[in-house]
Order: sequence, then structure tokens, then C-alpha cells
Amino acid sequence: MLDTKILVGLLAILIGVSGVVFVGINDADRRVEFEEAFHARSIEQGAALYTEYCTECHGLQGQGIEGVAPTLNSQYFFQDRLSEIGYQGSLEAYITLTVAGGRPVKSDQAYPREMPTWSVDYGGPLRNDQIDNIVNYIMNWEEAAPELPPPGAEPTPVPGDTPEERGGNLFQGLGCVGCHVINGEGGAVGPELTNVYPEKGEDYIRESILNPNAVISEGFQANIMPQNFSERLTDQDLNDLVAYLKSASEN
Amino acid sequence: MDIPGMAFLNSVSDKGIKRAVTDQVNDVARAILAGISPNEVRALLRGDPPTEKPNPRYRAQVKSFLLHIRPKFYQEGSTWFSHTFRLGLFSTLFFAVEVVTGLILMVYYTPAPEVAYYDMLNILSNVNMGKFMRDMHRLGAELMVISVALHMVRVYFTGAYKHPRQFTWLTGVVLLLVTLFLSFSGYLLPWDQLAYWAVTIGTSMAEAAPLFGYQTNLILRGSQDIGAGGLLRFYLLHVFLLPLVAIIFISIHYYKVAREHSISLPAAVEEGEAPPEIMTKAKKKIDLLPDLITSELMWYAIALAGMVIAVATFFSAPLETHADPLKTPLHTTAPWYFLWLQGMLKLGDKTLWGVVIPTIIFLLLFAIPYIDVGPSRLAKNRKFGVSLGIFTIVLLVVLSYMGTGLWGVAAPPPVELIQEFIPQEGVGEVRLIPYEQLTVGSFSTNDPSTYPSGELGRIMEEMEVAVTRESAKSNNNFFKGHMNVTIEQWQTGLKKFTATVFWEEVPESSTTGELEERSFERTFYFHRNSNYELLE
Repeated sequence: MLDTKILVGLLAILIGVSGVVFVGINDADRRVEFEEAFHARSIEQGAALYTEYCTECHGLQGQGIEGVAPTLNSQYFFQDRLSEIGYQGSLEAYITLTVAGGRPVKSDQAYPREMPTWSVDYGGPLRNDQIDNIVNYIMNWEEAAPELPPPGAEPTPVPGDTPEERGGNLFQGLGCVGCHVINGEGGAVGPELTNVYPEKGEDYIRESILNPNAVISEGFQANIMPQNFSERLTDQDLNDLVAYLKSASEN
Repeated sequence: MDIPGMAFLNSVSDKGIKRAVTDQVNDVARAILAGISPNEVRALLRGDPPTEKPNPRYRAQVKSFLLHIRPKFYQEGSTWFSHTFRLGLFSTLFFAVEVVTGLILMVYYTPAPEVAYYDMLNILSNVNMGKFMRDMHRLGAELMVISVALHMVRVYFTGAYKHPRQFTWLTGVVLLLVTLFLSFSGYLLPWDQLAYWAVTIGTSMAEAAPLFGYQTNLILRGSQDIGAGGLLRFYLLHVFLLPLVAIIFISIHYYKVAREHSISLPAAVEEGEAPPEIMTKAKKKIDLLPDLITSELMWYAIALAGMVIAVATFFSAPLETHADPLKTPLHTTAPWYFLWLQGMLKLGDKTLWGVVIPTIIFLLLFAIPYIDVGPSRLAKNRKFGVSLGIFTIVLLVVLSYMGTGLWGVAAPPPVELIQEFIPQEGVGEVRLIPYEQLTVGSFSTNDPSTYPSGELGRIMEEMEVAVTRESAKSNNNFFKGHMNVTIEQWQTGLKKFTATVFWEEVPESSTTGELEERSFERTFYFHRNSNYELLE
């Protein structure tokens, strides 16, 4: 009886120890796997957070919106941005700091809206682990980031042969379509513009582009539309846009 | 002059080198093994009678601290496996497992909201065998709750709480409570959604207590909501106060058993109703050393091996996403051992069902041996007691079922449909689809011909079945339902998965009963390395 118990006990010890050894041998590989998985899940959560909080200014795919916020998804951002501003830390640290604390001082006149503070530490809505998730998501663009002209480079001429065509391309390229609906296409942040030409006239359009807060349509907020089109648009551009809006109402 | 080692040299010259060394080894062994010689160890392992007089095994039980707690011998009947199932022994073992693994985990854990969750990720992905330790700790906790509860059930049904063991029963109920609270207080520490909301529900019950509920809740949580203060308090309860209370009450509980009244004999033996040959066998004395201790060590080894195998193969402690006080997950449930309480809460008033009645239940539990003072332990003489016990167990099972999300609190069909396939927390079927099989495109349960091949196609078929099932329920305001799935390539190695339920319903304000179109969607992003099977 005693023999059996000792035998069974020893067998159980053997099985238990083998189990521990088995776990121990595979543990290094397992840890690598877990690290990878947690990083991947952080990117997944970062994607959801980015879509919720960042797309409004930086664009759905980080392409940026002219006059609102800079491009994140570009070779320039991943390769040259840090050396250009002379930042000594890593890109992750730079993004983390910028997201967490926002921009404390005005750094670029091209973007009239300030980056707000996002971290709860500075009065924002996000926990620091959520900010880490967003940073991991942004960093995941690096591998396939497109080659884009750096900010401030000489603008390429607007394509198109007629004023209406050029104006249409400007309407897309400047991001107007993100907030304004024309003929059923576009965002609803700003008022619909399909019939703005016959209803309000040319002068009103010019004034609203150059000085968006001059007249705010009922039901919309001031200070949403970029304020710097007067610096960014040539007279030709402005004429093209008006021509495009005129043609839009005629369709 | 006395020189160290002189005595040994003298004995070499007296007895010769071989004999002197043997004697010296014997002396050292006796000093370590509380007077038991190597010869005696051999006899113990072989089951031979003691080699010396007086019996060195009994002497060891006086000299050794660890052995002096144990009785020298038992009546055989009280050690039969079918009588006690060694449940007290197993409870002690699991407590020891919790202490050892808990101490190791404490090294890697900081009880602060900013870092607790990171520490969990670190334990899982960076600490050597960290996942093993965490899983053992979690499994040990579950098993401890089970074995303590079963221990109580065994004692109840064999009537072992009766005279002279009333007070031992009382300390046992204290230990049951301590075990439950130990397990529950550990629940919060990972600081994930599961932890945060289970404990929020738990402590909100305290708030419903009459007179001092608000204060109790405040003391537990450290503020209105669980935050840094609450986490630290639960941590201190978990690693200091409750283990201390447990150790004190385990000591009292065991001291009573070992020194005062011993483990009960089977009732039939104690009351002389067993056949004579069984009576004689049951009352035979067996020694702790070596008969019983061998059996105990065997069961320890078996239980530990079982735990290791479970952890190495299928058992994983869950870890959900970071705690978020602003997002209540759907179907938040208490830990399984408190589901009966959650079930009772669904019956009505929080104060009555969540506080007053549980308190009465536990007070009755404490008082059982003082209420049931009938002398007989035999089931046939305790028909009321045994029936009440069975009834209570059935009731607990039913209440626990009512406590799960399966009963009573279904969300609207579209939410349930989405939750079924892409739960907010946990894994769900969709997250287990291999990344490559997430075909980019749009698919609808309205058009089975578009289903992609592989897992996604199979899950689309399941969605179709689930939609039909929800539509068939008569009380659902859910008509012409179908589900769409859209998959987009979003980033390098990242796909966006959108599931949308479209349906028509009669709006609440409607007087004509006309249908209105509705939709509900959930989006999640799926990375090729996220490997959701890892924590499954």
C-alpha cells in the first residue's frame, strides 16, 4: 500500500517537474510571441482611437489637411522631420510628447489651429496608454509611407485646362470637399455649396474664402474653416474656385 | 584544550574511520530530521516498524515544529478518502500555492492605475515564466474557492459540525468568507475592464447597505469611483490583511481539529451502525508517520502535477483591455462564485437582495451548529437538514444561472448579434479568423453567393443563422434583418473590419405601426500579429 503511494507520488512529481521544464523551455519563444501580439493589439486600438480623435485634422489616412494639420503619413515625417527641427529624441518620443502635451507655442503659420493637449496629465481626454496606442498606430505607417513633397515646397501648378476644371481640382486638393457638400458629395461640417453662387453671389464667395468668419451661416460654428487662404491662394486660384462653384450650380 | 573536530578525531582513533564517518552522518541527519536516523528513514519508506525504542517517530513529532502541529496518530475511519475527500488538505495546499506564486508576482507588480496594466503586460511578455506564475495563481485561487466550498458541503452533509465541533465550523465559515474576499480582492489588481467593472458592481452592493453603506463604499473604493485609492486598498487587503486573517483562522481551525476533537469518523461508525468488521477497521489507529503523511504527500504531488499540466496546456488567466471608467462593457458579470448574488440582485431591491438577505444567509450559516442541536449525524435522522442542504445547492445553481448574461437582461437584437461575433471584450469568433482569410471586400448575409471561402465564409453562414434566429423571436422588434461585413486594407498588416446589422423596426412613438429602417455597426481593426488565440 505504502509502495503504491510512494510510486504514484514520485510519478506525479516527475510529471509536474516535466510540465514546469516544458513550460520553461518554451517560455522565451512565448514571450517574444506575446510581445509581438501586444504590440499588434496596441496598433489595433490605436487605429480606433486615431479614427475617433485625429482624423478630423490629420485626415483618415494621416495625409493631413492643408491649412488644418500637417501630413503624418509621409517619408518626410518619418525620415527628415526630426533633423529639420533639431529634436534629439526618438520619433516615438516626439509624437508622444506632441500628442500628450499639444503645441505649447505657435510653431507653423501654415496651420492656424493649435494641436490641443490630449493627455489626462495636461487636461486632455486620453490616458497615457491610449496615447501609446496612437503612437504605435502612427509608427505603423512608416513602412509604406508615400514620398510627398515636403511642406513649404513650391506648389505644383493646379492641373486642368479650363477655370472650372482647375477650380474643381482645387476644391478637392485643398480639402474643401471634406466639409462642404456639392451635388451630393462631401462632408457636412460646413454648409452645402451647390447653389451658393446663384443664392449669395460672387463677392460673398470671395469674402468667405479669404475671411471665413466674416459671415457665419446659421447652424455652423466660426473658426472651423482655415483662415489662411488669403496667403495660400493666388488670384487665379480664387477665380478658378468661383468659376467651379458657378458651374456646380448649373449642373 | 577543546579544538573543533577533536571529538571526531578521537572517535576515528577509537572506532576506525568507516564507523566514525557513519556515526557522524547519523548524528547530522538526526539533528536535521528531529531525531530520525537514516536507518529509520529507510524503515519509514519501506513501511517497516520503528527501528528504535522509544518510537523515534513520536519523538520527532515533539521535537519538530512543523510536525508538532499534527496528531501522532489517527483513527483509520477519519482518513478514508470517501469520507473527507482530503478537502481540507487541498484547501491548505492551494493556499500555499497562492502564497508562493503571489510573492513572486508581487515582485513585478505596482498597485497604481498608471502602471498596473503595464505590469500585467510585462509579466506576460517579459518576465521569465511570468505567465506560468500568473496562471498558477489564478488557477490556485479558483481551486481554493472550489475546495473550501466543497469542504463545507462535505462537513454539512456528514453532520460533522455537531458537538463538539461547533466552534470549528464557525471558524470554517470565517475562512470561507476570507477565501471569497481574497479571490475577489485579487480580481481588481490587473486593472483591466474585467477587473474594473466586476469590482465596481461588487462594491456598489456595499453601497446599498443600510445606514453605513455610503461610508463602507467610500472606505473600500477610496473615493466615489474606483481609482488609485481603491486599487491600493484592494491590493493591501489582498496581500496583507486578508492573508493575515486567513493564517490566523487556519491556525485556530486546524488547532481545534488536531488537538481537541480530531477529524470526525464516518457517522455510521461513530453511532455504531456500521457492520462490525468495518467498525473494527475504522477504529484502528494509523500513524501519521509514515502511513498518513505518505498519502498526503501523494495527493499534494498529484494536485500540483494536475495544476501544472492544466496551466501548460489549456488554462489561461484572462486579461482584457485597460480599465476604462467611461466604457461599461456589455454583460458585465461578477466572478462565478458571486453569480448567485448577482442573480438575487435581479430579483429586486438592491438593499434587500444584495445586502440584507446575503447577511442573513451567512449569519444562518455561522449559526447552523447552534440551531441544529440534534445529537445524530446520520442522514436518515436529519431528513430536514439534508433536504435543506440539497435545496440550497439547487437554489445557488439556479441563482447563479440567473446571474449570468444568459438570463433576463438581453440587449436589443442588433447589439446581441454584433456582440456574439465581435464582443467588446474577450475574443469572439471573428478575431480568430486567420489574417490572410480576411478577404478585402463587402459581403452581405442577403447574398450568400458572395461569401468568401474559408473561415470568414463559414462565419458569414453563422451570422445568417443568428439573424434568422433573432428575427424568429416573437417579442423582438426586429424585422427584415441582415448583416453586412466590410473589410478594408487599412495600413501595413492592418485591416479594418466593419460589421453592420440592418433591420426595420416599429418606432416607440409610432401609432400606425409603420416600419422604419435602422442600422447598428461595430468596427474593429485587425493586425496580422495580434494572435488572439494566445490568451484564449
